[in-house]
Amino acid sequence: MLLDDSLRAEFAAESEEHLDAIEAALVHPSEERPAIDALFRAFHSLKGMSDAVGAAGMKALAHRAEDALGAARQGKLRVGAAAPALLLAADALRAARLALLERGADPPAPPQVLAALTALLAAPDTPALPDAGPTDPLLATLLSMLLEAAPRLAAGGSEPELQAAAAEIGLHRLAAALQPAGLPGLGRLWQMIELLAAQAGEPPPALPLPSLPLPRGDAASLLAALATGWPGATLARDAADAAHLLGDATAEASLRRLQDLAMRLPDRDAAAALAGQETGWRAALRQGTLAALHGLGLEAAPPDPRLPADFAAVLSPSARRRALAALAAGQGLYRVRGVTGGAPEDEAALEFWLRGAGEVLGSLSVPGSQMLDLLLASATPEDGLRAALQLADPDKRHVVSLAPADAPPAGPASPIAPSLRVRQDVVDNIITLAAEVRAAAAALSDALRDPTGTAAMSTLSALEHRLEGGPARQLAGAATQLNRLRNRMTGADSRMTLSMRQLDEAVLELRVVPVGMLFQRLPRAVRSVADAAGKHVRLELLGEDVRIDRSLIELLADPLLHLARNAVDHGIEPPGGRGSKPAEATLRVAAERLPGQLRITVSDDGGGIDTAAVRRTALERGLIASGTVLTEAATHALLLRAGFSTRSVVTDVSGRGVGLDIVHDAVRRAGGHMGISSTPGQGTRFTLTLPTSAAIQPVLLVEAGGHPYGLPASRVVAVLTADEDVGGLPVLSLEQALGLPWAPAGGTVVLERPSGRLALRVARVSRRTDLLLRPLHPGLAAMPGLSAVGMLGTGDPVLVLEPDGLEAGLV
Amino acid sequence: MDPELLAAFLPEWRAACARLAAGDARALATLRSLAEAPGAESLAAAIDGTAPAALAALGDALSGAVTHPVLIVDDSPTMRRILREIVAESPALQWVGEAADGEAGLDAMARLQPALTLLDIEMPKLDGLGVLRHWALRGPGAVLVVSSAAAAGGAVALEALRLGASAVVAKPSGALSLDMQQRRGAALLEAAHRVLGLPDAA
Repeated sequence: MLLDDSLRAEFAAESEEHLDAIEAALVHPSEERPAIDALFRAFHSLKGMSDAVGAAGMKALAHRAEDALGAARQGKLRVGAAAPALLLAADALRAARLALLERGADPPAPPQVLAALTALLAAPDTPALPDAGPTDPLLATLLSMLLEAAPRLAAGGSEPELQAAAAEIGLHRLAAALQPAGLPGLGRLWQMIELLAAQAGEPPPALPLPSLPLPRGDAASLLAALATGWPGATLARDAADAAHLLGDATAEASLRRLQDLAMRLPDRDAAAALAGQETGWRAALRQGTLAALHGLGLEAAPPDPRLPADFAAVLSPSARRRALAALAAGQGLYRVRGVTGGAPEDEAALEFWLRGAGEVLGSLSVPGSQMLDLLLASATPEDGLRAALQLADPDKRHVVSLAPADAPPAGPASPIAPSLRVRQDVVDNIITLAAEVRAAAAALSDALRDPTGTAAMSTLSALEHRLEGGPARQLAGAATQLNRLRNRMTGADSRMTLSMRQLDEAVLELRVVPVGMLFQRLPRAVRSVADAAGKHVRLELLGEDVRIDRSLIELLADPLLHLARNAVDHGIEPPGGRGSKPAEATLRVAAERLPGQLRITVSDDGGGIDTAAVRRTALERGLIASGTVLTEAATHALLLRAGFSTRSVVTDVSGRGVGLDIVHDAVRRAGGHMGISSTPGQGTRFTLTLPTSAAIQPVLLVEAGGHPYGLPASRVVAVLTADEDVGGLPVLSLEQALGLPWAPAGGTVVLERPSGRLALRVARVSRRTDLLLRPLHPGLAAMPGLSAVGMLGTGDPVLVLEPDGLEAGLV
Repeated sequence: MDPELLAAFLPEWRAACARLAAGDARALATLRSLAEAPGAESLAAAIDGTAPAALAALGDALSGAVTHPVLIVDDSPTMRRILREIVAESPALQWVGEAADGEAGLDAMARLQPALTLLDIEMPKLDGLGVLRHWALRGPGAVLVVSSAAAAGGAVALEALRLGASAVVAKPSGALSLDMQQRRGAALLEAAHRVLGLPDAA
């Protein structure tokens, strides 16, 4: 092996430097992360440079050592324990280095050293958490503006103001992405918004998908392109970005893998890997692995007039295909209205008839009744069906009506929907129970889909072939029986999944109240502020019957009151200052329902926001650097920053430390965002965009290591003092589960789990409370001991623990 | 422009741009007279109000020999040298600088505005993914990840692509083996050219 002189000198110096550093670090091994990182990098660099000069022996040594340190980085290996083997590796590397530099030789790595390094390794790894960078108030400001503009951007609009605002603070790449082209462009933009949130120190924003006017046609054309040929890097990238936008992580990963391999194509290994994946890829496309894209793409297809409109909206893509195929084959589609919830043998009779009649493609619940409409495809003409039905259900106990599907559906079950007063706690109880049932149903579905079940079945059938005579027959019989049971359970599971969806909708109905409840306090508050300031204000309330999640009422009541008072106090000019405008000012509070979202606007026809004053104050408070040029919108968004108030005169009502930042915080806690627009002399408008539902979970708060953690209240069986006997239950301390140092226990919580009760020792049992849940970061979602992240009333995040996963540990 | 004329024109044009950049206002007159040369008319209109560096680039563009500035970010001096030599092999790429860790890399990106950054993953202070997270919102140019830590189809490679890296390639391997002239960095150069939308290196 020949090295040219200058490269040789460089290699000699750098490799010696790394080896010296490694030895120095291993004499007194440190378990601190920076020290481990430095060691890792030293071996990593040695690996890279050895490979570059073609020294395979050195590369193998450095590679194995790097792997061991990788494990140490993940906390699976102590550097102290690994030091002897790593020092052996350093010695061997030194010897190989000399051989290379003096003789141009590449001695193989000593096997005993490689073995010692391999012995250190532990296999599985844990996901890394994103590191929060330094935060910048301007980033957070831009983030709220972006979220507010997201629907307009999705609709293909351009936002020159936003572009300018992003460019002003150096985010040029983001600025360039603000004219997103189609679904892929939106995916890339959303990815940037997520990064922006991380860098602004904000929680990851939830994508308000239902409210975004996504270019559905794009999904269809992407899919078509993916299906016609082997996707190139660009197509794979576009599809991956689209999948990211749709939150389909599985599809995104497989598309990214394609993108990666396609970009590496000159590399022979990559070409081989790519070719090896083709079959799997085709299969994935056929099976609809790109489910989200499929869903979106199919919705782009115009509804088929031959399918009844109510069913067309709920049929799965495959059911829709089968329905159209049945029509093409000359079969008829029928609407069968059946009664559910009868005795098991009744249902069996109905099922028997249905199976003989044809294929059930979908079902719909009939509002306000125990009935279900089924869409049936059948080759038998209507008369034949009726005759068979007459035999199966002579008393019409199960099937109420049978009609061709293109006939209009029979009217609702009962013309009047009677109402009933129910106590609040009863409703709460039902909501809690529904959540429990949903969790149990999900666990059942998971168990049924567990691949080990299928694997066990195939093991049984393999065994059956290896056995002979009586045992083989017995085994075959048992396996058949198991299979039959399994099929029945799968059938029951899909029915339950369907019913659960209907239950969810019903529960959602229970949770919502008219937004008018939120408006109730406004007229009095507005009048008293207006009277005190001597202003004439007319309050207009619009959209009071729009429905909103009950939990949001509590969260929003004070912020809304504050906004209204603020508008009267600061927004509307003092008497005589309104120029040519009517002397009576108008304050309008309006609620409006968007798909999946609720928008509340508070607008006044006052003087508008004094942007110069806002800039001055931002400078004084150090929120912006002097010389920063800000657009109008960016300036308005500054008002939402913590501790901002432009009012130098403290007035009677609004100047008591409650700023717009508090309102903004409450809106964000409710999972929404807030926008401001203002025209000088004409007024100001605050726009609150909120999700229509928010998930609330009652939890028991406990403490470990000085931090609060939530335990699902529904799983808490008992709370005991620290010295009470737990009666032989397995005991675990929360500190232990979280990997925290030992601390004296202040109490014990007994938790219910499917695998048996668990006594959890905690430093302190604090209180029961309701938590508003936020989506879990994917990196966290993979941890078995975590179920959600909630927000306390103070806005502090709380990890909600999953009792079933606690023993596996969190770290 | 006629190739012989261009050969004489370009050095003078660049020199005048450099003088202008150094604050010599007389260079403007030189540029104006140079722009009267046949084939340089497009430059005449651009002289006023264009930054000297951009004017120099416009001159280069006349010859069609546009070079793309390339930054190398890698903590190993050996690897940086090898990458530098690979970059030097392509007439379309112009090495403009290098950095030995992620933080220095971000500084250099902001300062040098490279069209292409060759980025390592494992680095002190700030790793390559950290650099990408910062760059993803700010730019400039395109990023080609050159790393052995990002195996094909592996989690690191996928994350890098998700963050907007144009491609991920392995570090050049066996660069000094017998067939080094043929294989040295060929894959890397090809990827770099594709990222920049240039014809293949070969």
